[in-house]
Amino acid sequence: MLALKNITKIYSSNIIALDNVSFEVNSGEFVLLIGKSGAGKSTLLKILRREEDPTKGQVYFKNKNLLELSRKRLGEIRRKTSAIHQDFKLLNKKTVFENIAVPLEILGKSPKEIKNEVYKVVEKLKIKSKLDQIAGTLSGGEKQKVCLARCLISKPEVILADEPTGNLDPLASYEFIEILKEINKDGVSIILATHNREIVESLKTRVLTLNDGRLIRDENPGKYTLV
Amino acid sequence: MLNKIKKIIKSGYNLFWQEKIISLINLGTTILVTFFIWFGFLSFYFFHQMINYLQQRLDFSIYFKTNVTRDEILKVQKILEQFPGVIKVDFVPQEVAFKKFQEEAKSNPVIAKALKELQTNPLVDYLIVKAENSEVYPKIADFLEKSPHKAYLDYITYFENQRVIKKIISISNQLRLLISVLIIVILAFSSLIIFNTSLVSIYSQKEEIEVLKIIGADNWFIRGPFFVYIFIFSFLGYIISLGILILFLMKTENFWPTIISNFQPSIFISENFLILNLIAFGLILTINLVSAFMSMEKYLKK
Repeated sequence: MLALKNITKIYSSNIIALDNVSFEVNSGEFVLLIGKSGAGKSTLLKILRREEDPTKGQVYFKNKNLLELSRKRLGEIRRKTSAIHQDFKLLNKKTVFENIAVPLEILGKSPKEIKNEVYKVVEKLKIKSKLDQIAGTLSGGEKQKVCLARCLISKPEVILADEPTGNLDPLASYEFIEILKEINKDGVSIILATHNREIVESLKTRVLTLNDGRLIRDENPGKYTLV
Repeated sequence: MLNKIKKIIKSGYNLFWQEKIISLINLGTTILVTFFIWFGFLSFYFFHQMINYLQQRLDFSIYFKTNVTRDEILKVQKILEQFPGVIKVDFVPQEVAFKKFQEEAKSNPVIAKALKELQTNPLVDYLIVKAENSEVYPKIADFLEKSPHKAYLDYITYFENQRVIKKIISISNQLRLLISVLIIVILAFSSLIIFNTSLVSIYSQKEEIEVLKIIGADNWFIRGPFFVYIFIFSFLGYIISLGILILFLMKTENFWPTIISNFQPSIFISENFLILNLIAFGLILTINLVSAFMSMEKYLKK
């Protein structure tokens, strides 16, 4: 469903962030992306949504080359490949409701439809009581749940999570990963970048390891590949 | 689509109240720039009226020899009335001229006494020519010099006033150039102020723009609320400054004609109210929108 082919990213200061990285992610897969800070995890996730362009290589989502898409079509793809960030990327001056509703407003849905959809998602994530609260006043765990709710409302096929537990306490991190597992069970592919060893050990799922911009290992439970 | 438009308008309106300090700065900038633009308009009007005032004071009179009949003078009057750029040609008979001279000389006892002692009217019939602008007078003088009526003419005051007329033409042209430069400078200065304020406004919203891009919003969904916001503060700022300007002109209505009798800004504004406001508000809105568009582009490229 999602494929990277020979991706290289060199920043203007000649820093090689990614070096000839290739892999595929199938529908419904849960993939962990690990590596130390500066290994290229965030860059890779940004390239997967074309928030950044690679220096070389191709990115495919459902056989469509993202690098050849117009800005308008790219918006559609971004709604299908939702992102969760360590720093939440919420509209901090707006309410939780307004934050979650944005993807549907972009699609031009009616207020009634938006309200119904928002209520469904917040009930699922147990944040209904926070709907009228200003996003900037929430705790880290709550903010991450709002961020996830905003992803889910546009019914994504893939969720790209960049260190989503980085700013959360252990309990909130555990709770958040459990929610991600539930969402994955519903058929949504998840690519989770982390350097939290506990998460890696608890998930027992496919792990891609990046080191200095190179994909050095692609491990699957029962299947081990040295790249 | 309708829901999307409603949302864009609502977001733009909310942005105005949400970002109070930035809105206040934008409002202040708009008020300032509106004053600049109106200053440009009124300067243009002032110089235009000043040129007219000076031109009206130009004496272009044609005096005829004593043996020329009134019919022949009236013929010349008719010819000149058809001359391009001539507004009117008045015939002044020698009796009227003499009466006028007597009236003017009342305050001078020497001349008054001399006129009383004089048994005959020493003045002659003449024509007073009024043209659209001072550039027409040399052409009339040239035309008369070459025409068969040259023999009727005693003298033309143009030749006496030639130096003054040429000076006025030169001043008029220089003033026109000055007004054009002034308006260009005002527009450039206004654009710079608005562009800088716009950069600050958009910069303060860059995180919101980034978030909307990440969620997958198209560029017009992001630009739209800013454009609505710009319309709101531009309109409000314009109305406030126009109100202040009108109030100021009403309070000083009697002062302006003391500078030049035909300089009456309130009449100028009321006669051209629609077109002036369309130009001024159109300029402000366009500069604001273009500035916002340009400031936003770098955040929308991702």
